[in-house]
Amino acid sequence: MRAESRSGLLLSAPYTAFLLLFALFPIGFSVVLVLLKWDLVTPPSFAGLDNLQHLVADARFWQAIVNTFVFLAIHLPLQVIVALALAWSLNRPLLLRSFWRAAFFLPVVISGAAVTILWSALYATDVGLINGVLARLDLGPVPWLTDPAIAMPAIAVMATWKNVGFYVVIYLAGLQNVPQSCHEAIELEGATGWQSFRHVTLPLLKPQTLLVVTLSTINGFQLFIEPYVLTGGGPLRRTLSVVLYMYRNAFSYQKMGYAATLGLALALVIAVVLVLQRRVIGSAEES
Amino acid sequence: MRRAVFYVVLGLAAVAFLYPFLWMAATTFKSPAEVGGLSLIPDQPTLENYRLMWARAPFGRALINSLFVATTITVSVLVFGSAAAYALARLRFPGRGILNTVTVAVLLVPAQLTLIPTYTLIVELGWIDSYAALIAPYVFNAMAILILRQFFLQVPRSLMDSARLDGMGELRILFTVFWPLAKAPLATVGILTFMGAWNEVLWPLLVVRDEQLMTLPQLLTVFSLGGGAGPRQLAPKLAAAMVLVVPVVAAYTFLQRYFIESMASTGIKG
Amino acid sequence: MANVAFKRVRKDFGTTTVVQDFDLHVADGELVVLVGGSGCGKSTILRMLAGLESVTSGTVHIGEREVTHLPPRERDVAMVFQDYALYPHFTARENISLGLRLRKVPKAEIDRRVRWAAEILELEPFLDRKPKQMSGGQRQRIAMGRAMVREPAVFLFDEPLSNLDAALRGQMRHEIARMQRRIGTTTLYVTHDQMEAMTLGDRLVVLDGGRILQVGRPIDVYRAPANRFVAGFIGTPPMNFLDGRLERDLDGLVFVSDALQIPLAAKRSLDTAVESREAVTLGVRPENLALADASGPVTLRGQLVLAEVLGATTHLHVDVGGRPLIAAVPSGPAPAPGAAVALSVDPRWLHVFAADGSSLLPDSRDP
Repeated sequence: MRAESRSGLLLSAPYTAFLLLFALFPIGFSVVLVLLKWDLVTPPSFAGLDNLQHLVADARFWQAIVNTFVFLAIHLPLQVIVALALAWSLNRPLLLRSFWRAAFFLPVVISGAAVTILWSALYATDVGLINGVLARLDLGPVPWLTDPAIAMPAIAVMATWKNVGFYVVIYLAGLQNVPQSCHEAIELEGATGWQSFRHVTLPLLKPQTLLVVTLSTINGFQLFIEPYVLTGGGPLRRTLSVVLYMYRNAFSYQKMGYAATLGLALALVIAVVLVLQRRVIGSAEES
Repeated sequence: MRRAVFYVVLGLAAVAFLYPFLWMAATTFKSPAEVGGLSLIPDQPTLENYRLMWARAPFGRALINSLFVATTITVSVLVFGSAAAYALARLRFPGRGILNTVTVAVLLVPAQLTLIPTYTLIVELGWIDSYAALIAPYVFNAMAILILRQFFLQVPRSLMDSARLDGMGELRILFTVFWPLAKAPLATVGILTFMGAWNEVLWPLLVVRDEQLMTLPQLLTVFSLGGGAGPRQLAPKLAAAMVLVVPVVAAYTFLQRYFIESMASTGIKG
Repeated sequence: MANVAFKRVRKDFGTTTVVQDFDLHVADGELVVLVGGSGCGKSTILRMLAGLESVTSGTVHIGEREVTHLPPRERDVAMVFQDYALYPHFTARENISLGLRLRKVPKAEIDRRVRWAAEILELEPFLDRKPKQMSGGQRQRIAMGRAMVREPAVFLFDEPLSNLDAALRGQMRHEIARMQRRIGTTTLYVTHDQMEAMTLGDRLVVLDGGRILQVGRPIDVYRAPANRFVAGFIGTPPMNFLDGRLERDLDGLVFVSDALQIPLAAKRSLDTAVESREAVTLGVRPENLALADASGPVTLRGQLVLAEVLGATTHLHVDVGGRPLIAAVPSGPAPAPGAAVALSVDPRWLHVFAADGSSLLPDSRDP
């Protein structure tokens, strides 16, 4: 119908324009930027492979990648274990069940900026809540954000606290799909509660775990506001994240070409890591 | 007995999630001498921290900016997004297949890849320090279009046919037949979009430098970066954070079921 | 009120042709039923008339107007859908009146028409309910009401009864027939249910593969199906078919299939088939098979497999030399399963189909 074609084109035209301007153009232009030296003030100049060579040799970039892996090494297991434990606790008849779920979920809806500022207060060495609690237990003040060895783990704990409620809900949905008969069958075989969890529940929650790991990983590579507000990337650049470094290159150093190169590199690293994770979790299924 | 222990452990877990917020709220009413104490009830309650933060930075203006930006984006994503989703789901037109494919493909591209090119685009358009810079890149959302399209595909064809025989045009069919049926996905998209826009901080930090145009999370971030972490600075910062947190917590208290279901249903965070 | 005409209408979806060479004239006030299996093109034809589907070639006419390229709202047709297509957020009254409100019909006139339709359909008590609060039959009537108040030139029904249970289906069939006769609007009705088609239509259009196979009064189509497909499609239980040849013998013609021989009256239209000794199919309706009594002629012998007593009629499933046949006989003392049975065939009611499926005895045989 000609009228239908016309309506379809008309209704989708704004979206098409949007995609061209804010999706397809930036994707294409990101590759062009890699080849440019551009400070947004003077006209861009062709830089060849300078940006890529710089990237390969850039200690800060590699430090940021290492930092992200340190973050993930703590954040991923913590996220999975805490989310599973909380979801498992909630997956039963409970008093105030929706209250517990809502409590765990609360940090998820709060802006990352607000949560980060709240945690800057929790982590503050002298007036912070955590050191206040530790003092009651006669434990010395811990320099949470100023000790190079502790800062990134501290950020990982905070990120876990912020996001875990979301994964609790995802695991809860998964747990509700585990048929009761599976538990009964293995209990008749003489399995303990732990064995039932280990051999029935856990394997059946594989899709949820994959989702939790995937989303947490993407989150980890997007780390920005946390180091930006809490540590500025320090101490000793141990909390510098790729996005923070990219932001500085664009905003502070006016190096658009190099910032875009960082973005492209980050996108590739994310893709590779996600594919590897999928392989590992997938092969765990077969064994 | 085991049950009692279980509830105690669960209660401690909940305290770990709720107590920091309560402590934050309490701290904003404390005098510098009290800041850092664990108590939730200030000995000498004071509004000094709020006065300070309100005086030092335009938080009122930021609140209005944030409301305006998030509302505009949400309305646009719902109205124009559902029009696009409707066309993609129910109208045959040249290019529909490509548009559907691109919509899915765009979701697979990490935001970091497009951040800098989009920023240079905004600079070249001369949109730095404008509402346009804050709003334009978000007026459509591929995820929202997919959610709505998926729902629109399930509306029976006969309802559309019937509406056409009744003499309705496409826009009227969308808004008087499809929208009333799509309350749930529209609410999901609305909540996700508003939360995403309300909480966004990296993008405003890039494209807005004028304090008068800053969004709330942005101004809060900029504000908190100044000054040290001593008791005199800490409480006003937390007071500023309260301006950002309180509206969300209020909405969350009444609509928590929708918040949780919306966010979990898509497997995507706002 | 208007007549309807399709002239050489064709519809392609991509490279597949779903309707071709479709010619049909529907007289003013007539109720024509389009019947066929799924994918025969019947719904597409209806949707082309409504303007919901474009026409690849050919023309469509309503009354004096050619409407081939008009949008649906300008065609003055109303349609009742299989799933009723009621707006779930509107009450019955709002559903019925929406089309009129969109056309800016005066309020008093809308009220009058809604009352009129509600009375005919006995809907008054439900007018302020929403579709969810109503039964399938009530929703069906709302959908009909919505079509009626438009007072359209043509009513279209697209399998309106197939979502109802059997008892309600029978009842609604009567209501549709009654309503159509009372207001006399030209109606096209699509169904896959041949029983519905037989009982409802002034005329039937039997379709297969996007082509018309036969058009006619239901009883004519039943008595003289134009081809094997129509013969098998119309009638329950379906017509029995036997493959074989025609041969001439001393008394006239005989149908031969292996050891089986069935005599039939000679007809000139059969001569070619006899001479060429080509393969033919013999068709016999279950009600034209009878249990042979001791004195009468016996044409078929077989073994009873199953006797289904439906009430006044019993369906005998008989195995005749490896071929399953069904005979519909008056209920009475029936042989036990496994018993040998003898069947007689009324030669006046035999059908013969050529290898291409066309009937070799096409003339109507009213007694």
